[in-house]
Amino acid sequence: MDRIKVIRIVIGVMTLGIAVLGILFYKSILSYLVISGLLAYLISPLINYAQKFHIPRAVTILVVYLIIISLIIILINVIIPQVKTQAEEASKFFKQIVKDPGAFSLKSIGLDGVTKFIDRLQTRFTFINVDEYTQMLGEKFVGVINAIPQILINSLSGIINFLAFLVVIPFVCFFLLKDERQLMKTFFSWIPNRYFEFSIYLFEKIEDSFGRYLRSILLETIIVTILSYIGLLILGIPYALTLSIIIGLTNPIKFFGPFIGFVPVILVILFSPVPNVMVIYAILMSIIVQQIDSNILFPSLVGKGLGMHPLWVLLTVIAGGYAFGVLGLLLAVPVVFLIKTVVQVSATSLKQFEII
Amino acid sequence: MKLKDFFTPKTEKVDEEKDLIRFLSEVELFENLTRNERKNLSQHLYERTYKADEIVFKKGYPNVVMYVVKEGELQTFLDSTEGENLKTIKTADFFGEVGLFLEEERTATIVASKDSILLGISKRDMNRFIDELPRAGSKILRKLATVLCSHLINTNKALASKRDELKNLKKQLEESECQIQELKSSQDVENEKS
Repeated sequence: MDRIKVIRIVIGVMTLGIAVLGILFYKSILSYLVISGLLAYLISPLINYAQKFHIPRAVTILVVYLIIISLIIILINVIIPQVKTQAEEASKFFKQIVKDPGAFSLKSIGLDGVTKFIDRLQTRFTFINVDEYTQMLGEKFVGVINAIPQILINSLSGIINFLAFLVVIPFVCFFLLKDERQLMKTFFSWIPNRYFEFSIYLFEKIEDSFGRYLRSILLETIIVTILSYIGLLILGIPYALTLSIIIGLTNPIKFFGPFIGFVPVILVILFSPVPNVMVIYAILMSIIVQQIDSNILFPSLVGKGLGMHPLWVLLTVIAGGYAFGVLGLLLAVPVVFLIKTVVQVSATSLKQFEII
Repeated sequence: MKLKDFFTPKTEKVDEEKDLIRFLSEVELFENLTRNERKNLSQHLYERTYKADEIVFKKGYPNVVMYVVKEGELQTFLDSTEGENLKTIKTADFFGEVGLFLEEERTATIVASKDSILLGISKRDMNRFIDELPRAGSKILRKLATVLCSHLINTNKALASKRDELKNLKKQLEESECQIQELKSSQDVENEKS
Protein backbone atom coordinates (compact mmCIF):
# COMPACT_ATOMS: atom_id res chain seq x y z
CA MET A 1 0.00 0.00 0.00
CA ASP A 2 2.74 2.42 1.05
CA ARG A 3 4.89 1.41 -1.85
CA ILE A 4 2.08 2.30 -4.29
CA LYS A 5 1.66 5.66 -2.60
CA VAL A 6 5.37 6.41 -2.90
CA ILE A 7 5.37 5.40 -6.55
CA ARG A 8 2.35 7.60 -7.16
CA ILE A 9 4.02 10.60 -5.54
CA VAL A 10 7.22 10.02 -7.52
CA ILE A 11 5.28 9.77 -10.79
CA GLY A 12 3.29 12.88 -9.90
CA VAL A 13 6.44 14.89 -9.19
CA MET A 14 8.02 13.64 -12.41
CA THR A 15 4.94 14.62 -14.44
CA LEU A 16 4.98 18.06 -12.88
CA GLY A 17 8.69 18.38 -13.65
CA ILE A 18 8.15 17.39 -17.26
CA ALA A 19 5.31 19.90 -17.54
CA VAL A 20 7.47 22.69 -16.11
CA LEU A 21 10.37 21.76 -18.38
CA GLY A 22 8.00 21.69 -21.35
CA ILE A 23 6.71 25.14 -20.57
CA LEU A 24 10.26 26.44 -20.16
CA PHE A 25 11.31 24.81 -23.42
CA TYR A 26 8.37 26.18 -25.43
CA LYS A 27 8.33 29.51 -23.55
CA SER A 28 9.73 31.54 -26.42
CA ILE A 29 6.99 30.49 -28.84
CA LEU A 30 4.17 30.67 -26.31
CA SER A 31 3.06 34.06 -27.59
CA TYR A 32 2.91 32.70 -31.17
CA LEU A 33 0.75 29.86 -29.94
CA VAL A 34 -1.58 32.30 -28.21
CA ILE A 35 -1.85 34.47 -31.32
CA SER A 36 -2.38 31.52 -33.67
CA GLY A 37 -4.94 30.14 -31.24
CA LEU A 38 -6.82 33.42 -31.25
CA LEU A 39 -6.66 33.64 -35.05
CA ALA A 40 -7.81 30.06 -35.47
CA TYR A 41 -10.60 30.73 -33.05
CA LEU A 42 -11.79 33.70 -35.06
CA ILE A 43 -11.64 31.85 -38.39
CA SER A 44 -13.08 28.51 -37.22
CA PRO A 45 -16.81 29.35 -37.57
CA LEU A 46 -16.20 29.95 -41.27
CA ILE A 47 -14.51 26.57 -41.70
CA ASN A 48 -17.26 24.82 -39.74
CA TYR A 49 -19.85 26.50 -41.90
CA ALA A 50 -18.16 25.28 -45.08
CA GLN A 51 -18.02 21.76 -43.70
CA LYS A 52 -21.80 21.78 -43.85
CA PHE A 53 -21.47 21.44 -47.62
CA HIS A 54 -19.00 18.56 -47.26
CA ILE A 55 -16.07 20.73 -48.31
CA PRO A 56 -12.90 19.35 -46.70
CA ARG A 57 -11.55 21.54 -43.96
CA ALA A 58 -8.11 21.82 -45.53
CA VAL A 59 -9.60 23.23 -48.74
CA THR A 60 -11.62 25.87 -46.93
CA ILE A 61 -8.63 26.86 -44.83
CA LEU A 62 -6.49 27.29 -47.94
CA VAL A 63 -9.20 29.38 -49.59
CA VAL A 64 -9.45 31.56 -46.47
CA TYR A 65 -5.66 31.89 -46.47
CA LEU A 66 -5.70 32.95 -50.11
CA ILE A 67 -8.33 35.58 -49.34
CA ILE A 68 -6.33 36.84 -46.35
CA ILE A 69 -3.11 36.97 -48.40
CA SER A 70 -4.79 38.93 -51.17
CA LEU A 71 -6.30 41.26 -48.58
CA ILE A 72 -2.84 41.78 -47.09
CA ILE A 73 -1.44 42.52 -50.56
CA ILE A 74 -4.21 45.06 -51.15
CA LEU A 75 -3.50 46.49 -47.70
CA ILE A 76 0.20 46.84 -48.41
CA ASN A 77 -0.27 48.32 -51.88
CA VAL A 78 -3.26 50.58 -51.41
CA ILE A 79 -4.15 51.34 -47.84
CA ILE A 80 -0.81 51.46 -46.08
CA PRO A 81 0.79 54.04 -48.44
CA GLN A 82 -2.32 56.16 -48.08
CA VAL A 83 -2.28 55.89 -44.28
CA LYS A 84 1.44 56.52 -44.26
CA THR A 85 1.24 59.69 -46.34
CA GLN A 86 -1.74 60.85 -44.35
CA ALA A 87 0.02 60.19 -41.06
CA GLU A 88 3.16 61.94 -42.29
CA GLU A 89 1.17 64.93 -43.46
CA ALA A 90 -0.65 65.05 -40.16
CA SER A 91 2.52 64.86 -38.14
CA LYS A 92 4.15 67.55 -40.31
CA PHE A 93 1.06 69.62 -39.79
CA PHE A 94 1.24 69.25 -36.02
CA LYS A 95 4.97 69.99 -35.96
CA GLN A 96 4.35 73.19 -37.89
CA ILE A 97 1.76 74.17 -35.34
CA VAL A 98 4.23 73.63 -32.52
CA LYS A 99 6.80 75.78 -34.32
CA ASP A 100 4.30 78.55 -34.85
CA PRO A 101 3.77 80.07 -31.40
CA GLY A 102 0.49 81.71 -32.29
CA ALA A 103 -1.07 78.56 -33.62
CA PHE A 104 -2.27 77.25 -30.29
CA SER A 105 -4.08 80.37 -29.40
CA LEU A 106 -7.73 79.53 -29.13
CA LYS A 107 -8.33 82.67 -31.15
CA SER A 108 -6.62 81.05 -34.10
CA ILE A 109 -9.48 78.57 -34.36
CA GLY A 110 -11.48 81.54 -35.48
CA LEU A 111 -14.80 80.94 -33.80
CA ASP A 112 -16.21 84.37 -33.00
CA GLY A 113 -17.98 83.30 -29.83
CA VAL A 114 -14.88 81.66 -28.42
CA THR A 115 -12.70 84.70 -29.13
CA LYS A 116 -15.17 87.04 -27.49
CA PHE A 117 -15.44 84.73 -24.49
CA ILE A 118 -11.67 84.61 -24.08
CA ASP A 119 -11.40 88.38 -24.36
CA ARG A 120 -14.07 88.83 -21.71
CA LEU A 121 -12.33 86.33 -19.45
CA GLN A 122 -9.03 88.11 -19.78
CA THR A 123 -10.47 91.53 -19.03
CA ARG A 124 -12.23 90.16 -15.93
CA PHE A 125 -9.43 87.98 -14.60
CA THR A 126 -6.20 89.57 -15.69
CA PHE A 127 -4.09 86.94 -13.93
CA ILE A 128 -5.34 84.23 -16.29
CA ASN A 129 -3.43 83.96 -19.50
CA VAL A 130 -5.67 81.67 -21.52
CA ASP A 131 -3.38 81.57 -24.50
CA GLU A 132 -0.44 80.42 -22.42
CA TYR A 133 -2.44 77.58 -20.88
CA THR A 134 -3.83 76.38 -24.18
CA GLN A 135 -0.39 76.51 -25.71
CA MET A 136 1.04 74.43 -22.87
CA LEU A 137 -1.79 71.93 -23.20
CA GLY A 138 -1.33 71.83 -26.95
CA GLU A 139 2.36 71.12 -26.72
CA LYS A 140 1.78 68.33 -24.24
CA PHE A 141 -0.86 66.88 -26.51
CA VAL A 142 1.42 66.94 -29.53
CA GLY A 143 4.03 65.17 -27.43
CA VAL A 144 1.54 62.42 -26.63
CA ILE A 145 0.41 62.16 -30.26
CA ASN A 146 3.99 61.83 -31.41
CA ALA A 147 4.63 59.15 -28.81
CA ILE A 148 1.64 56.97 -29.77
CA PRO A 149 3.18 55.28 -32.84
CA GLN A 150 6.31 54.52 -30.81
CA ILE A 151 4.25 53.00 -28.00
CA LEU A 152 2.28 50.90 -30.47
CA ILE A 153 5.40 49.68 -32.21
CA ASN A 154 7.14 48.87 -28.93
CA SER A 155 4.26 46.88 -27.51
CA LEU A 156 3.69 45.01 -30.74
CA SER A 157 7.32 44.13 -31.35
CA GLY A 158 7.37 42.54 -27.92
CA ILE A 159 4.85 40.01 -29.09
CA ILE A 160 5.52 39.55 -32.73
CA ASN A 161 8.72 38.89 -34.47
CA PHE A 162 7.89 39.65 -38.07
CA LEU A 163 9.56 36.58 -39.58
CA ALA A 164 7.91 34.31 -37.06
CA PHE A 165 4.65 35.99 -37.75
CA LEU A 166 5.02 35.17 -41.43
CA VAL A 167 6.17 31.58 -41.04
CA VAL A 168 5.14 30.04 -37.75
CA ILE A 169 1.74 31.51 -37.12
CA PRO A 170 0.05 30.54 -40.42
CA PHE A 171 1.37 26.99 -40.04
CA VAL A 172 0.25 26.58 -36.43
CA CYS A 173 -3.04 28.21 -37.29
CA PHE A 174 -3.55 25.82 -40.20
CA PHE A 175 -3.13 22.72 -38.09
CA LEU A 176 -5.19 24.13 -35.24
CA LEU A 177 -8.03 24.73 -37.69
CA LYS A 178 -7.71 21.46 -39.58
CA ASP A 179 -7.52 19.22 -36.51
CA GLU A 180 -9.73 21.31 -34.28
CA ARG A 181 -12.04 18.46 -33.25
CA GLN A 182 -9.15 16.02 -32.93
CA LEU A 183 -7.31 18.38 -30.60
CA MET A 184 -10.44 18.89 -28.53
CA LYS A 185 -10.96 15.13 -28.30
CA THR A 186 -7.37 14.67 -27.17
CA PHE A 187 -7.69 17.41 -24.60
CA PHE A 188 -10.90 16.03 -23.11
CA SER A 189 -9.56 12.47 -23.14
CA TRP A 190 -6.98 13.57 -20.55
CA ILE A 191 -9.71 14.52 -18.13
CA PRO A 192 -10.87 11.84 -15.65
CA ASN A 193 -14.45 10.54 -15.97
CA ARG A 194 -15.43 12.23 -12.74
CA TYR A 195 -14.73 15.69 -14.18
CA PHE A 196 -15.55 14.99 -17.83
CA GLU A 197 -19.08 16.38 -17.85
CA PHE A 198 -18.09 19.32 -15.69
CA SER A 199 -15.22 20.25 -17.99
CA ILE A 200 -17.44 20.09 -21.08
CA TYR A 201 -20.03 22.19 -19.27
CA LEU A 202 -17.42 24.77 -18.25
CA PHE A 203 -15.86 24.86 -21.72
CA GLU A 204 -19.18 25.40 -23.46
CA LYS A 205 -20.34 28.07 -21.03
CA ILE A 206 -17.08 29.99 -21.48
CA GLU A 207 -17.28 29.65 -25.23
CA ASP A 208 -20.85 30.83 -25.24
CA SER A 209 -20.13 34.05 -23.40
CA PHE A 210 -16.46 34.88 -23.92
CA GLY A 211 -15.99 33.46 -27.41
CA ARG A 212 -18.99 35.23 -28.78
CA TYR A 213 -17.82 38.42 -27.11
CA LEU A 214 -14.39 38.17 -28.73
CA ARG A 215 -15.72 37.45 -32.21
CA SER A 216 -18.36 40.11 -32.10
CA ILE A 217 -15.94 42.76 -30.83
CA LEU A 218 -13.78 42.13 -33.89
CA LEU A 219 -16.74 42.42 -36.23
CA GLU A 220 -17.94 45.51 -34.42
CA THR A 221 -14.54 47.17 -34.85
CA ILE A 222 -14.56 46.53 -38.59
CA ILE A 223 -18.12 47.81 -39.07
CA VAL A 224 -17.55 50.95 -36.97
CA THR A 225 -14.39 51.69 -38.94
CA ILE A 226 -16.23 51.42 -42.25
CA LEU A 227 -19.17 53.51 -41.02
CA SER A 228 -16.87 56.25 -39.71
CA TYR A 229 -14.90 56.20 -42.93
CA ILE A 230 -18.06 56.70 -44.96
CA GLY A 231 -19.21 59.48 -42.61
CA LEU A 232 -15.88 61.32 -42.73
CA LEU A 233 -15.74 60.97 -46.51
CA ILE A 234 -19.20 62.48 -46.85
CA LEU A 235 -18.19 65.39 -44.61
CA GLY A 236 -15.04 65.84 -46.69
CA ILE A 237 -12.68 65.77 -43.75
CA PRO A 238 -9.01 65.18 -44.64
CA TYR A 239 -7.13 62.03 -43.52
CA ALA A 240 -10.47 60.20 -43.38
CA LEU A 241 -8.95 56.72 -43.59
CA THR A 242 -6.40 57.22 -40.82
CA LEU A 243 -8.96 58.87 -38.58
CA SER A 244 -11.57 56.15 -39.10
CA ILE A 245 -9.01 53.43 -38.34
CA ILE A 246 -8.20 55.22 -35.08
CA ILE A 247 -11.92 55.46 -34.28
CA GLY A 248 -12.42 51.77 -35.04
CA LEU A 249 -9.44 50.62 -32.98
CA THR A 250 -10.38 52.67 -29.95
CA ASN A 251 -14.05 51.66 -30.16
CA PRO A 252 -13.71 48.41 -28.15
CA ILE A 253 -12.30 50.40 -25.20
CA LYS A 254 -15.35 50.76 -23.04
CA PHE A 255 -16.63 54.30 -22.34
CA PHE A 256 -13.40 56.14 -23.20
CA GLY A 257 -12.94 54.60 -26.63
CA PRO A 258 -15.29 56.75 -28.69
CA PHE A 259 -13.97 59.94 -27.00
CA ILE A 260 -10.31 59.02 -27.40
CA GLY A 261 -10.92 58.07 -31.00
CA PHE A 262 -12.70 61.29 -31.70
CA VAL A 263 -10.09 63.72 -30.36
CA PRO A 264 -7.86 63.51 -33.49
CA VAL A 265 -10.89 64.22 -35.69
CA ILE A 266 -11.67 67.45 -33.84
CA LEU A 267 -8.02 68.51 -33.89
CA VAL A 268 -7.69 67.83 -37.60
CA ILE A 269 -10.81 69.85 -38.35
CA LEU A 270 -9.78 72.78 -36.13
CA PHE A 271 -6.28 73.05 -37.50
CA SER A 272 -6.99 72.37 -41.16
CA PRO A 273 -8.55 74.54 -43.87
CA VAL A 274 -11.90 72.77 -43.42
CA PRO A 275 -14.50 75.14 -41.92
CA ASN A 276 -14.69 74.81 -38.16
CA VAL A 277 -18.45 74.26 -38.21
CA MET A 278 -17.58 70.79 -39.42
CA VAL A 279 -16.75 69.91 -35.79
CA ILE A 280 -20.45 69.96 -35.04
CA TYR A 281 -21.28 67.84 -38.07
CA ALA A 282 -18.47 65.46 -37.17
CA ILE A 283 -19.75 65.18 -33.61
CA LEU A 284 -23.23 64.53 -35.02
CA MET A 285 -21.80 61.85 -37.26
CA SER A 286 -19.97 60.24 -34.37
CA ILE A 287 -23.15 60.28 -32.29
CA ILE A 288 -25.02 58.58 -35.13
CA VAL A 289 -22.29 55.94 -35.50
CA GLN A 290 -22.23 55.40 -31.73
CA GLN A 291 -26.01 55.04 -31.67
CA ILE A 292 -25.91 52.51 -34.50
CA ASP A 293 -23.14 50.72 -32.65
CA SER A 294 -24.73 50.64 -29.22
CA ASN A 295 -28.35 50.14 -30.29
CA ILE A 296 -28.05 47.87 -33.31
CA LEU A 297 -24.59 46.34 -33.58
CA PHE A 298 -23.81 45.63 -29.93
CA PRO A 299 -27.18 44.08 -29.03
CA SER A 300 -27.32 41.91 -32.14
CA LEU A 301 -23.67 40.84 -32.06
CA VAL A 302 -22.67 40.69 -28.43
CA GLY A 303 -26.19 40.09 -27.18
CA LYS A 304 -26.97 40.60 -23.56
CA GLY A 305 -23.68 42.37 -23.05
CA LEU A 306 -20.99 41.67 -20.53
CA GLY A 307 -23.06 41.40 -17.42
CA MET A 308 -20.47 43.53 -15.64
CA HIS A 309 -21.49 46.71 -13.86
CA PRO A 310 -20.47 49.83 -15.87
CA LEU A 311 -18.46 51.16 -12.92
CA TRP A 312 -16.51 47.93 -12.74
CA VAL A 313 -15.82 48.05 -16.50
CA LEU A 314 -14.63 51.65 -16.14
CA LEU A 315 -12.27 50.83 -13.28
CA THR A 316 -10.99 47.77 -15.15
CA VAL A 317 -10.15 49.86 -18.20
CA ILE A 318 -8.27 52.41 -16.06
CA ALA A 319 -6.39 49.72 -14.15
CA GLY A 320 -5.50 47.92 -17.37
CA GLY A 321 -4.16 51.15 -18.84
CA TYR A 322 -2.02 51.78 -15.77
CA ALA A 323 -0.63 48.25 -15.66
CA PHE A 324 -0.03 47.38 -19.31
CA GLY A 325 -0.38 50.56 -21.36
CA VAL A 326 -2.26 50.56 -24.65
CA LEU A 327 -2.61 46.77 -24.75
CA GLY A 328 -3.95 46.90 -21.21
CA LEU A 329 -6.63 49.38 -22.23
CA LEU A 330 -7.76 47.04 -24.99
CA LEU A 331 -7.41 43.68 -23.27
CA ALA A 332 -8.24 44.37 -19.61
CA VAL A 333 -12.00 44.04 -19.98
CA PRO A 334 -11.98 40.79 -22.02
CA VAL A 335 -9.46 39.14 -19.67
CA VAL A 336 -11.32 40.17 -16.51
CA PHE A 337 -14.55 39.06 -18.16
CA LEU A 338 -13.01 35.65 -18.94
CA ILE A 339 -11.89 35.18 -15.33
CA LYS A 340 -15.27 36.33 -14.07
CA THR A 341 -17.07 33.79 -16.32
CA VAL A 342 -14.84 30.93 -15.17
CA VAL A 343 -15.36 31.77 -11.50
CA GLN A 344 -19.09 32.28 -11.90
CA VAL A 345 -19.74 29.09 -13.85
CA SER A 346 -17.54 27.00 -11.54
CA ALA A 347 -19.15 28.44 -8.44
CA THR A 348 -22.60 27.20 -9.42
CA SER A 349 -21.76 24.02 -11.30
CA LEU A 350 -19.08 22.60 -8.98
CA LYS A 351 -21.81 22.09 -6.42
CA GLN A 352 -24.26 20.68 -8.95
CA PHE A 353 -21.70 18.11 -10.03
CA GLU A 354 -20.96 17.32 -6.36
CA ILE A 355 -17.26 18.05 -6.84
CA ILE A 356 -17.22 20.29 -3.80
CA MET B 1 -8.85 8.88 -27.92
CA LYS B 2 -5.88 8.30 -25.69
CA LEU B 3 -2.67 10.26 -25.49
CA LYS B 4 -0.77 7.45 -27.18
CA ASP B 5 -3.16 7.59 -30.14
CA PHE B 6 -1.97 11.09 -30.78
CA PHE B 7 1.42 9.70 -31.74
CA THR B 8 0.36 6.46 -33.43
CA PRO B 9 0.71 6.11 -37.20
CA LYS B 10 -2.07 7.46 -39.35
CA THR B 11 -3.24 4.08 -40.74
CA GLU B 12 -4.34 2.76 -37.34
CA LYS B 13 -6.24 5.94 -36.71
CA VAL B 14 -8.06 5.62 -40.04
CA ASP B 15 -9.05 2.03 -39.20
CA GLU B 16 -10.36 3.16 -35.83
CA GLU B 17 -12.36 5.89 -37.49
CA LYS B 18 -13.84 3.39 -39.95
CA ASP B 19 -14.79 1.09 -37.08
CA LEU B 20 -16.49 3.94 -35.30
CA ILE B 21 -18.45 4.94 -38.42
CA ARG B 22 -19.51 1.32 -38.96
CA PHE B 23 -20.57 1.04 -35.34
CA LEU B 24 -22.73 4.14 -35.60
CA SER B 25 -24.89 2.45 -38.25
CA GLU B 26 -25.74 -0.21 -35.66
CA VAL B 27 -27.13 2.38 -33.28
CA GLU B 28 -30.86 2.70 -33.75
CA LEU B 29 -30.73 6.48 -33.52
CA PHE B 30 -28.21 6.86 -36.34
CA GLU B 31 -29.08 3.89 -38.57
CA ASN B 32 -30.66 6.04 -41.31
CA LEU B 33 -27.70 8.39 -41.67
CA THR B 34 -25.50 8.25 -44.75
CA ARG B 35 -21.85 7.38 -44.38
CA ASN B 36 -20.80 11.00 -44.81
CA GLU B 37 -23.24 12.16 -42.16
CA ARG B 38 -22.03 9.49 -39.75
CA LYS B 39 -18.45 10.51 -40.44
CA ASN B 40 -19.33 14.10 -39.66
CA LEU B 41 -21.13 13.05 -36.49
CA SER B 42 -18.22 10.91 -35.34
CA GLN B 43 -16.07 14.03 -35.11
CA HIS B 44 -18.23 15.23 -32.25
CA LEU B 45 -18.04 12.01 -30.25
CA TYR B 46 -15.85 11.70 -27.17
CA GLU B 47 -14.85 8.13 -26.35
CA ARG B 48 -14.84 7.38 -22.62
CA THR B 49 -13.94 4.16 -20.85
CA TYR B 50 -15.63 3.26 -17.57
CA LYS B 51 -14.73 0.48 -15.18
CA ALA B 52 -17.37 -1.71 -13.58
CA ASP B 53 -19.23 0.07 -10.74
CA GLU B 54 -18.06 3.48 -11.93
CA ILE B 55 -20.74 6.17 -11.87
CA VAL B 56 -21.36 7.89 -15.22
CA PHE B 57 -23.61 10.56 -13.75
CA LYS B 58 -25.90 10.99 -10.79
CA LYS B 59 -29.45 12.18 -10.49
CA GLY B 60 -29.44 15.97 -10.13
CA TYR B 61 -26.38 16.71 -12.27
CA PRO B 62 -26.87 19.22 -15.10
CA ASN B 63 -27.77 17.73 -18.48
CA VAL B 64 -24.63 18.14 -20.57
CA VAL B 65 -23.77 14.99 -22.49
CA MET B 66 -25.73 12.26 -24.25
CA TYR B 67 -24.12 8.82 -24.41
CA VAL B 68 -24.19 5.87 -26.78
CA VAL B 69 -22.94 2.55 -25.42
CA LYS B 70 -20.21 1.15 -27.65
CA GLU B 71 -19.41 -1.76 -25.41
CA GLY B 72 -20.47 -3.02 -22.02
CA GLU B 73 -23.51 -2.80 -19.83
CA LEU B 74 -24.91 -0.15 -17.50
CA GLN B 75 -27.68 0.06 -14.95
CA THR B 76 -30.20 2.77 -14.17
CA PHE B 77 -31.20 3.74 -10.65
CA LEU B 78 -33.88 6.19 -9.75
CA ASP B 79 -32.72 7.13 -6.29
CA SER B 80 -29.54 5.76 -4.87
CA THR B 81 -27.33 3.03 -6.27
CA GLU B 82 -28.66 0.69 -3.54
CA GLY B 83 -32.17 0.87 -4.95
CA GLU B 84 -33.76 -1.26 -7.61
CA ASN B 85 -32.19 -1.45 -11.06
CA LEU B 86 -34.78 0.21 -13.28
CA LYS B 87 -33.41 -0.73 -16.65
CA THR B 88 -30.29 -2.36 -18.03
CA ILE B 89 -28.58 -0.46 -20.85
CA LYS B 90 -26.76 -2.61 -23.38
CA THR B 91 -24.45 -2.16 -26.36
CA ALA B 92 -25.81 0.22 -29.06
CA ASP B 93 -28.35 1.68 -26.61
CA PHE B 94 -28.25 5.35 -25.79
CA PHE B 95 -29.13 7.39 -22.72
CA GLY B 96 -29.21 11.00 -21.56
CA GLU B 97 -31.34 12.00 -24.56
CA VAL B 98 -33.79 13.87 -22.32
CA GLY B 99 -31.16 16.57 -21.93
CA LEU B 100 -31.38 17.39 -25.64
CA PHE B 101 -34.81 18.86 -25.13
CA LEU B 102 -35.20 19.79 -21.49
CA GLU B 103 -33.04 22.06 -19.37
CA GLU B 104 -33.84 19.90 -16.36
CA GLU B 105 -31.35 17.98 -14.28
CA ARG B 106 -30.51 14.31 -14.75
CA THR B 107 -33.49 12.23 -13.71
CA ALA B 108 -31.63 9.04 -12.90
CA THR B 109 -28.26 7.71 -11.83
CA ILE B 110 -26.32 5.61 -14.34
CA VAL B 111 -23.69 3.13 -13.17
CA ALA B 112 -21.55 0.86 -15.30
CA SER B 113 -22.18 -2.75 -14.28
CA LYS B 114 -19.39 -4.07 -16.50
CA ASP B 115 -16.33 -2.43 -18.01
CA SER B 116 -17.84 -0.17 -20.69
CA ILE B 117 -16.89 2.13 -23.51
CA LEU B 118 -19.26 5.04 -24.05
CA LEU B 119 -19.43 7.59 -26.84
CA GLY B 120 -20.43 10.96 -25.44
CA ILE B 121 -21.78 13.81 -27.48
CA SER B 122 -22.40 17.13 -25.83
CA LYS B 123 -25.88 18.55 -25.99
CA ARG B 124 -24.61 21.67 -27.74
CA ASP B 125 -22.62 19.74 -30.36
CA MET B 126 -25.66 17.54 -31.04
CA ASN B 127 -27.92 20.55 -31.49
CA ARG B 128 -25.33 22.18 -33.70
CA PHE B 129 -25.02 19.04 -35.81
CA ILE B 130 -28.80 18.96 -36.23
CA ASP B 131 -28.82 22.64 -37.21
CA GLU B 132 -25.91 22.36 -39.62
CA LEU B 133 -27.05 19.19 -41.36
CA PRO B 134 -30.83 19.50 -41.21
CA ARG B 135 -31.40 16.44 -43.39
CA ALA B 136 -29.40 14.24 -41.04
CA GLY B 137 -30.87 16.10 -38.10
CA SER B 138 -34.45 15.34 -39.13
CA LYS B 139 -33.58 11.65 -39.48
CA ILE B 140 -32.12 11.59 -35.99
CA LEU B 141 -35.00 13.54 -34.49
CA ARG B 142 -37.60 11.33 -36.18
CA LYS B 143 -35.89 8.20 -34.89
CA LEU B 144 -35.65 9.77 -31.46
CA ALA B 145 -39.35 10.63 -31.55
CA THR B 146 -40.17 7.04 -32.49
CA VAL B 147 -38.05 5.71 -29.64
CA LEU B 148 -39.54 8.16 -27.15
CA CYS B 149 -43.08 7.33 -28.34
CA SER B 150 -42.48 3.64 -27.87
CA HIS B 151 -41.07 4.43 -24.42
CA LEU B 152 -44.22 6.38 -23.71
CA ILE B 153 -46.48 3.55 -24.89
CA ASN B 154 -44.53 1.07 -22.80
CA THR B 155 -44.74 3.34 -19.80
CA ASN B 156 -48.47 3.75 -20.36
CA LYS B 157 -48.90 0.00 -20.59
CA ALA B 158 -46.85 -0.49 -17.47
CA LEU B 159 -48.87 2.21 -15.76
CA ALA B 160 -52.13 0.59 -16.82
CA SER B 161 -51.03 -2.82 -15.60
CA LYS B 162 -49.85 -1.27 -12.34
CA ARG B 163 -53.19 0.48 -12.02
CA ASP B 164 -55.02 -2.81 -12.56
CA GLU B 165 -52.76 -4.43 -10.01
CA LEU B 166 -53.53 -1.64 -7.62
CA LYS B 167 -57.27 -2.04 -8.23
CA ASN B 168 -57.01 -5.76 -7.58
CA LEU B 169 -55.03 -5.10 -4.45
CA LYS B 170 -57.64 -2.59 -3.30
CA LYS B 171 -60.42 -5.09 -3.98
CA GLN B 172 -58.54 -7.75 -2.06
CA LEU B 173 -57.97 -5.31 0.73
CA GLU B 174 -61.65 -4.40 0.89
CA GLU B 175 -62.66 -8.04 0.80
CA SER B 176 -60.24 -8.94 3.54
CA GLU B 177 -61.46 -5.97 5.59
CA CYS B 178 -65.04 -7.21 5.14
CA GLN B 179 -63.95 -10.66 6.20
CA ILE B 180 -62.23 -9.27 9.26
CA GLN B 181 -65.31 -7.30 10.20
CA GLU B 182 -67.51 -10.34 9.70
CA LEU B 183 -65.14 -12.37 11.83
CA LYS B 184 -65.12 -9.63 14.44
CA SER B 185 -68.91 -9.36 14.52
CA SER B 186 -69.27 -13.12 14.73
CA GLN B 187 -66.76 -13.13 17.57
CA ASP B 188 -68.72 -10.38 19.34
CA VAL B 189 -71.88 -12.40 19.01
CA GLU B 190 -70.10 -15.42 20.41
CA ASN B 191 -68.73 -13.34 23.28
CA GLU B 192 -72.20 -12.03 24.11
CA LYS B 193 -73.55 -15.55 24.03
CA SER B 194 -70.96 -16.78 26.42
